Amino acid sequence: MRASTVPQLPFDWPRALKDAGMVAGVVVLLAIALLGFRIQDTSGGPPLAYRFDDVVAVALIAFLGRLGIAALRAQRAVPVLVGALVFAIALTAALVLGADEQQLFFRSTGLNGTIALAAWILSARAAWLVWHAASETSAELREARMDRLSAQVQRWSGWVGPLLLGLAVALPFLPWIDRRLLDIATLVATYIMLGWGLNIVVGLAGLLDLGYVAFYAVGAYSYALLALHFDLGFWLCLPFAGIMAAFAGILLGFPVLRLRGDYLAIVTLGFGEIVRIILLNWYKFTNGPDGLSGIPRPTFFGLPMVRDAPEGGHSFHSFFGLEYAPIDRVIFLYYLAIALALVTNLFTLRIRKLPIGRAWEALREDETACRSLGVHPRNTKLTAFAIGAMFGGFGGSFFATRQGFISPESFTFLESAIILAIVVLGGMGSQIGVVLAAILLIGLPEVFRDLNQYRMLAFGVAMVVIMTWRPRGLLAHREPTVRLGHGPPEERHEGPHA
Amino acid sequence: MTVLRVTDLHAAYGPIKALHGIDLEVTEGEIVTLIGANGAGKSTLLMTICGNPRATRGRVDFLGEDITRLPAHEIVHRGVAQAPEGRRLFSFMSVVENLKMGAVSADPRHFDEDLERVFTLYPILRERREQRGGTLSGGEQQMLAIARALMGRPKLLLLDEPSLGLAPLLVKQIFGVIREINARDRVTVFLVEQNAHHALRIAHRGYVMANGRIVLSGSGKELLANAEVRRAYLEGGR
Repeated sequence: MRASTVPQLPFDWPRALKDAGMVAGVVVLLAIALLGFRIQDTSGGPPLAYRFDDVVAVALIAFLGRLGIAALRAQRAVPVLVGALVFAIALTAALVLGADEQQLFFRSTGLNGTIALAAWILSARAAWLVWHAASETSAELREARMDRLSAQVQRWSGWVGPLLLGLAVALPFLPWIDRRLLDIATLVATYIMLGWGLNIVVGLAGLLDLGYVAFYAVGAYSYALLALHFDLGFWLCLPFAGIMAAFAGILLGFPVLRLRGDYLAIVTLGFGEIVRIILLNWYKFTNGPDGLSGIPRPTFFGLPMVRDAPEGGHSFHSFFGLEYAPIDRVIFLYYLAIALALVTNLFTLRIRKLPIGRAWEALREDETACRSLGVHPRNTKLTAFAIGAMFGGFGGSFFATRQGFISPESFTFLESAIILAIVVLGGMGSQIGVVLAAILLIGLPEVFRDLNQYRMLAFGVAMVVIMTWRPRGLLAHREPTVRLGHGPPEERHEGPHA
Repeated sequence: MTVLRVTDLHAAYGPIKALHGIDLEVTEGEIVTLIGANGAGKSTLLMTICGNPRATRGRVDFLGEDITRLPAHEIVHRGVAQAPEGRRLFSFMSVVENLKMGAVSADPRHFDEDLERVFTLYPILRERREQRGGTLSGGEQQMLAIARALMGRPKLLLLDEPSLGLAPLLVKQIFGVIREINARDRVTVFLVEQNAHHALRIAHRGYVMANGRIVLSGSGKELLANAEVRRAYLEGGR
């Protein structure tokens, strides 16, 4: 250990205590509302239960944790390591051994688990510091390291992509995969696809679209209405739904694409709401808030995924001579989602290398320069908008066919916000970043459903953490689309902006 | 043959009038320079020719066609290329991608040939071809801006202060290349400059602009010798 080589600064106790006290205070304020009261559904008893002991406990933990971080900053890693490790081991052991919940800090396994995780992270950080005896790396250094890493990831994407794809294909046959996990994976795949679709608009063309869910809704309702009224199948309707959504994109884009930045964002936000409200109120056409049900399921090349084959036909299992298993349909839907996402990805990768894709990126950087080079700004933006919308429409059709039931409730602003969060947090324009962010934002909260009401808290925490550590997104790195022979390696430093 | 003819051109930014009736002409194969002090309206004139801001009065003809009302991107497709003020590179895109953007208005079949041509003009760009535009030095960025404009095979090249903020040696190099483009590739050049000395030396003809008007014109040599020009733009104000 080389810890002695690092100069030991005097530990500023009053300041650290004051800081930790303030953090604890904030936590108390937040926790009173979040944890302090609980509505009980027991009949007869009082409707509210008070849990101020939980509030005190969480404040105490925040106080100690903050003190630990301050100590880490002042190179006092060893005591923090010991303290955090003991705490983490004790809590984890208690959780694993299934101690009586009343004896632990909180009555929620999820919250205890989160705190144990935080303690583990803190001890890992302390251990790292003890091991390297290094001072806390500066923010810039850390940023540069993450940038290098994300550049590396992009360079690896040659084999990371296929690897992830292989994993995705093999997923349904992994031993520990059950129906629930497969459903989550399908959901994640849907959001990856939507993220990639929105990435064309936001990441490549730089048009902030807060109403992406409108195109998702148009796609879903297009499919549902076509299928219900004209008895058309999923595969026939899919391109129609995409075209309808693209048409909606052009319809919206034509008047508003001369707006920039915040103004465009507000108009698209409004459009999203308009579509939802039309769906809600046009009762004759959309069945309003009651929604549309009985939307047909997709077929496997014309073979329905049902137990009993239709008259004079085959169903999937009878055609292949298999035993009927309900999970087949889940697996099929999962593969369908993966396939749709893959199409979106391949399309994006390809179009980035074409003049139109390059024009999108150039337009994002400097619209004036683009115009002076002969790019038609409105048409270029319109194509981005329409193509992004088209993939939103595909996503919507898939959603409709998977759920079998749609109503305007599924197309609220929150959906737009989540999809946008996936794109922004993943790193604008980064394809793998979208995958990562979708898994983080959609997959984790679903997996941790046990956290109950803290699930959205986890979503929020994930967002805050990413935004603090990686303000430009997890994998913010742009790989050039043209390569000529073997050039010198790209220098990585921020250049002057002309 | 007249490539560019500007007749009684007026332009304004909102209520502020920037150009008060400009008349000028650029003939095929020429280098014509426009010199003048800061705020004389030089850049505004260049931008008005490109359609942004729109002329409030007067007209611009390019190869005999009235382009005054054409949208900016249409004007580019007619063969007017611009290396705008402040270079305006795509700083997150590589050198080659920037050049690809410059070729938007050109036949894609010419791309390799044109790329070779600008790489011969500016060998440093070949070395830097994979680098992001924003990481280039000031001189390299200017070279890239000119090279990008050349990728569209323009008939008329508009340059806005290419020497701005560059070291004397680089300025010399930039002007050398402008002369080369003009002599070898027969590109007509309209050059807006504050660096009157260099600009007048390579120009066939020049115009002097002040307060939104053309106040003087003549051949490059004449203007270099002109006492007024010398006092105002060459020997430094007192």
